[in-house]
Amino acid sequence: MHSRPASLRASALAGSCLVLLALAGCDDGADFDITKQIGPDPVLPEPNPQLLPDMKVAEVIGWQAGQTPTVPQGLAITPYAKDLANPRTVHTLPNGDVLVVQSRGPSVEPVSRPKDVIRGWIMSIAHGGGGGPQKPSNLITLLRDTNRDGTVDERSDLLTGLDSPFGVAWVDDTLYVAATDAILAFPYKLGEMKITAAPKVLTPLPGGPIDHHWTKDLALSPDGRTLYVSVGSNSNIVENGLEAEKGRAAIWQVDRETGAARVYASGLRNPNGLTFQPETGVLWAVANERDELGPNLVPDYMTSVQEGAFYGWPWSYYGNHVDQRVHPQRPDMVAKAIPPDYALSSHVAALGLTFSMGSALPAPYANGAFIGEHGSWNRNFFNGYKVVYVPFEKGRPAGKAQDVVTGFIAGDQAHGRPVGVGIDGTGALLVADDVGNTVWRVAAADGSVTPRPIGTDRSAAASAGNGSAPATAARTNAGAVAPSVRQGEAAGGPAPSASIDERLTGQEPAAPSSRSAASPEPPPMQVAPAVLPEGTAQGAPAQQRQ
Amino acid sequence: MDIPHPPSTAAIAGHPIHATLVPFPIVCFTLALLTDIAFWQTSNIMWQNFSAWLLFAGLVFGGLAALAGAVDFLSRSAVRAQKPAWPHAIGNVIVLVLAFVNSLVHAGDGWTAVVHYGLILSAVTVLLLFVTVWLGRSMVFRHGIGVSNHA
Repeated sequence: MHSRPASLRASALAGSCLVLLALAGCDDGADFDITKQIGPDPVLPEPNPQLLPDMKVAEVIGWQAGQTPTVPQGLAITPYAKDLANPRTVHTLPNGDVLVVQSRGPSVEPVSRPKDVIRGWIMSIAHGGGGGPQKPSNLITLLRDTNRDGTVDERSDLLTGLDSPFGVAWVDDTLYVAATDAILAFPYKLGEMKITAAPKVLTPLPGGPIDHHWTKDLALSPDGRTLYVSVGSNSNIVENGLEAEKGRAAIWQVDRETGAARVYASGLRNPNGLTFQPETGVLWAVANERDELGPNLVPDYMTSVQEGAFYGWPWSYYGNHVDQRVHPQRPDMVAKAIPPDYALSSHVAALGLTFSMGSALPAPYANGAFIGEHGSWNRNFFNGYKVVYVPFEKGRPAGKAQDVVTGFIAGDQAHGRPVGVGIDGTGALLVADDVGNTVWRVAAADGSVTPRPIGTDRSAAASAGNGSAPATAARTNAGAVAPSVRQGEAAGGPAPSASIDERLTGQEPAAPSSRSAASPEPPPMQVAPAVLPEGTAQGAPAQQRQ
Repeated sequence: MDIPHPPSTAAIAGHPIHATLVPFPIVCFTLALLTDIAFWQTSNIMWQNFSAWLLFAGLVFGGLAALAGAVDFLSRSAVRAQKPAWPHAIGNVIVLVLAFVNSLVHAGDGWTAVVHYGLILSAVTVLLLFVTVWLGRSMVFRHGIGVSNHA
C-alpha cells in the first residue's frame, strides 16, 4: 500500500495512446481555463470522449496530528470532531446540537461489464481504507458544544446500524433520516443523547440492487410540512437501462404526515445539498453532472430547484446540449430541459451546500453559499477537493466562486475530501471530511459567535411544531397508474416487472390505457426518469392536479 | 508422404495448445459482431454488455493462443518456413490490437460505445480474422503443422 504510486492513470495501457490518437485523440484539456466554467453561463467545449477515460484519483493519506486544511485570513480552522467513520453530512438542531451522519455506500452494484471491475479497484484507492479492518460506519453521532466555545463537550452515537444514511431533518419531535432506501422517522426530543425506538418508514426510496448514486439528501420546507429528498441516478448515463432509473435523477416532494411522494423536479443526475435559501425560501441544490465526455464536460452545478422543472438528464445537459450516448434520442425532452443557475466547473463533485446568512462568519461571507466539492476523478488535473463560497444578492448568485477551505490535496495525495457543509450552533461553518474522518470547524478568527443557535432547517415549525395536514396529503399512492407505454418502449426492453412497485403500492399496475383526464399522478417509483407526470405544468397549483 | 510434419513445441501429449485455444477468440469476436448488430438494432443495453464480455474473453484466450503460437513459431524454423506463417502471425497480432482498442470503445457508456466505431471495429476484426483463420487452417490441413506422424 505504501509504495503504491500516488496517482494512477487508468493503467499501463498508456502506450496504446498512439493507436488511440487516430480514433479519439489524447487531448487532456490542460490548457482549458476552468474559471470559464464557473458562473451562470459556462463555456461548454465540444464533447471529447477519450478511449481511455482520464482517471486520476488521489491516494488518501489522512491528517497527521496538527495538520489542518487551509483557510483565508479572517477565518480560523480547527478539528471539531475526529476519529469518525466516513462523515458525509452535518446537521444542526435548533438547540445547537450537531448531528454528523457517517455512512458508506451500500456496495450492491453488480458487475455488468469488465470495466466495472477495473474501475472499482481504482476507485477503492480514492476512498481510502485499503488496508485493515474499517471502523463500523452507517451511524449518526451527536456532538454537543455545551458552553458554545467552538469545541465539542459531549459526544454520543445517536443511531447506529443505518442503511447508508445521508440527509436528516428534525421537526415536531421527529428525526427524519434519509437512508438509501427509505425515509425513516424516529421519535426524538431535543437534548436526548440516544435513540432506541424503532423507526417508522415514512416513504420508501429507490435503493438497491444497483443504487449507483446512493446518497439521499433531505430538506424540510420552511413551513415545516413537506420534506424534499434527492434521489440520484442509477448510472452515469443510463448504461444500466432506463428501467433502472425509475424515480431517480430527481428531487421528490414528500408529505410529512402521510408519506405521499411525488417528483418535484427531475433530470438532475445526482442532486445533493438540498437547502432552502433563507432570504427567498426557494429550494437550492448542487448536482453532479455526467462523466466521460472529456475533462471539461459536463460542469457540475448549483441551482434553484423549480417545481416541475426538468434539467436534462439523461438526454441533454445545460438546456439543449444533446448527449449522443443516450439512444433513442428524445427531442421532446431536450426541448423541455432548462439550464441550471450556476456552473461550478467540471468534475468537482459538488456534494454539500449551505447558506451563510445569519452565521457568525466575517463580513465577506455574510450572504452566500458554501459548497463542498469532493473532488474529481475523470480528469488528469485535480479539480475540486475544496470548499468554495459563492456570494449571493437578493437570493441569487452574484459573483465568482472563491476558495474558502483548501489544502485537502497535497501533491498527488489527499489528506481528506470535503462533502457536506453546514453552520453549527455558534454560527461557524462545519465541513464533513469523509476520508479524513474529521469534521472541521471554520470560524471567524476573532471568535465571534451568534447570539443563539440557528438550526439547519430554518423552519418556524422546526421549533414550534405544526401538525396541520398539508394540501398534498390527499394525493396518496392509491390509484397508481403505470407509466406510459412509450417509456417502457424507450427502454428497449420487455415490459418491466412490476414486483417492486406492487410491493410498494399494493396495486396491480393498471392498463396503460387507463390514462384519462382525471388520471392521478403515479408514485415516483413508477415514473421513468425525467418524465414528469402528465398534466404537470410549471407553476400550476398542486391542488388542481388531482 | 516422406516429409515429416513440423511438430508443435507448445503441445500437451502431442496436442498443440495453440490449436486448442484459437476457437475461443474466433467464436468470441464473431459473436461480438453479432451482439453489436443486435444492440444497433434494438438499443438494448444487454447486447452491449454481451459484446464487452465477449471481447474481453476473446482477448484473454486470444492472448494465450498467441503465446502458444509464438512458441511454435519462434522455436521451429520449419514452422516459420511455411508460406502462410508470417501473414498469419502478423494478421493475428493486428486482430488482437483491434479487439483491444474495440474493448476500450465498448467500455464507454451508452449508444456511442457501439455505434458506429465499436460496430466498425468489430466488423473489421472479424473480416481480418477470416483471413488469418484461413491461413492458419492451411498451415495445419495443407502443411500439417503439429499433425502427428504415423509413418
